[in-house]
Amino acid sequence: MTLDISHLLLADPAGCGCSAAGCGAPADHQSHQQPDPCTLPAPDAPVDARDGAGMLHWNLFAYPVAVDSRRYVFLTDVRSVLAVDEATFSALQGARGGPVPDGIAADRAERLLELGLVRQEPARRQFEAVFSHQRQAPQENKLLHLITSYTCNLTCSYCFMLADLGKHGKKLLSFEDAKKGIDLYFRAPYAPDSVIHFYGGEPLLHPQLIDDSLTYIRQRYCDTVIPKIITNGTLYGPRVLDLLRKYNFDLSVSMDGDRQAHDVFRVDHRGKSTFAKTVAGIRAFHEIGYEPKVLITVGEHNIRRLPEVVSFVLSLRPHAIALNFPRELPEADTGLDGEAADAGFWVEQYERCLELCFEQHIPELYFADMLFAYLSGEPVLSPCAACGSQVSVGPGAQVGPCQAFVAAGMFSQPAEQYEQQDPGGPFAPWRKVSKATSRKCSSCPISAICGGDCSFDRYNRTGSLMEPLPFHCDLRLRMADHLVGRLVAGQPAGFAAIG
Amino acid sequence: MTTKASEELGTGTMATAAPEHGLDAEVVVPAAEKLSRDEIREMVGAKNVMGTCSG
Repeated sequence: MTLDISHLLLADPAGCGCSAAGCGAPADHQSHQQPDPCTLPAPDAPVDARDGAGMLHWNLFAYPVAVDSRRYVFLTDVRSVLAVDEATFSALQGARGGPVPDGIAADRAERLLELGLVRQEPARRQFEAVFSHQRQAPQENKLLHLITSYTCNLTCSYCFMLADLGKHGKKLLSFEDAKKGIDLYFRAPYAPDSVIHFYGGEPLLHPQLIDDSLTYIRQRYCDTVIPKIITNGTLYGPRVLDLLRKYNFDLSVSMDGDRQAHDVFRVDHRGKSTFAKTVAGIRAFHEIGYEPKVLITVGEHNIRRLPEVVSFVLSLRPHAIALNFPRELPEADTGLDGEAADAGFWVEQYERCLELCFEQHIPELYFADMLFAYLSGEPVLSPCAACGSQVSVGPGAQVGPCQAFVAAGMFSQPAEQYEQQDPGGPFAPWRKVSKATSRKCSSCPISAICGGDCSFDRYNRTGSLMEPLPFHCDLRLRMADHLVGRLVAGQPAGFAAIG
Repeated sequence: MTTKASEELGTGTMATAAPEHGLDAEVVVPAAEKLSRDEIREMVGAKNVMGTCSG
């Protein structure tokens, strides 16, 4: 089945081409040029000129889902599911919180209201009500990336972190520069369970820097932070294992599947396979008590065999996996531009893998973050952590909101110039990136439970930070479909084994 | 009425069909109770979902 989301997408706006609803500014209007997005308010659900007292509106968050021959509506604002008749199902497709037609019988209207299928508030107010707790919550840092170096013992040509090496005079993050980044992160309000993420290049080439940085953070600022590493898994000598024993890292290994898939890109400097070393690394981590996550970059090199590839990875008993779907990668791995341009195929492959994860009780992390929103009842307004709660620090003490952009030499500045609230700084455009300022997200029925996508990918593909890419919308909608399918079948929403 | 989403939820939990209104609809999964982060981690089976992007 190919997922049709055309009813969720609006035509390009008139005016400057920015994302905000009602923007009629001319395209050459200076304040509307990217990367500084328009700040006019969204959401962009259909405007009802007759909007007033007594008018009823479809629930903006009513998402119609067909499961076999049955018709359901997932109310993502209150997180309930209704079985509905064909007429109601059809009426909600593309309704986007628009007005309920005139002439509806009073008793029917009352029933629709009672069921939550319609609301008295127009779409804009519905959106604001659902996300009101987010708008009022104090902003705080939650994720610090320390890019330990732009060097790696592998030469994966698709790596977005090592694509712009020529822009960097310094390849290594010194401890002095790391401290500058740490100081400015903790200068702002921060979450006590902040994730301190050691990134690269390959971070485990620098165990001393990691140790020194964590010691500094714990002694000076906070001892409840969560240290995290993404590694290629090929370094597991005594110094590395000592470091891993010393701290309780959230440990992830990048691996693209079985040998055939993994060795397409993930090779060493001599072009040799790293598959066996990576598997050995995962086993070494298991032996000292770790259950690493495995992060799989999905592309044309593994999409056709993805269920097979994922089955292999699951056999290594990771704590979780993440299927990182194609970004605009430096090498020819973008996938969606090629033969496999049918996003429906990619989404179907994802869903097959999701089923494998449920069978094995091993979480897939992108589905898991939808579950976090669904189960917590706390919708997240930001499409990614870089939009307001993340600081990334790289070699030379370059600071920005997103590690991928810091590596690309964009949206970044020296730590000495850093001021997170600086209206002219690299953080400013990101504060305006949210579901509320996106035309698609602000009129999407699953925005209350959607975990968002990748702003780096948005920018690379479209030149804008503002709107999600259609493929990622397809993927998230399929996740919501899958969740509804599980709920109405009486299956657990989570991956954990019950009983 | 709220029900923990972790419970197995069958169809027809709350019969609300009202044919006389011309509206055939029923709640099959009642509004989920809000769970704590620890409860969610246990149910989802994942400790933490931040920072999954890798190249």
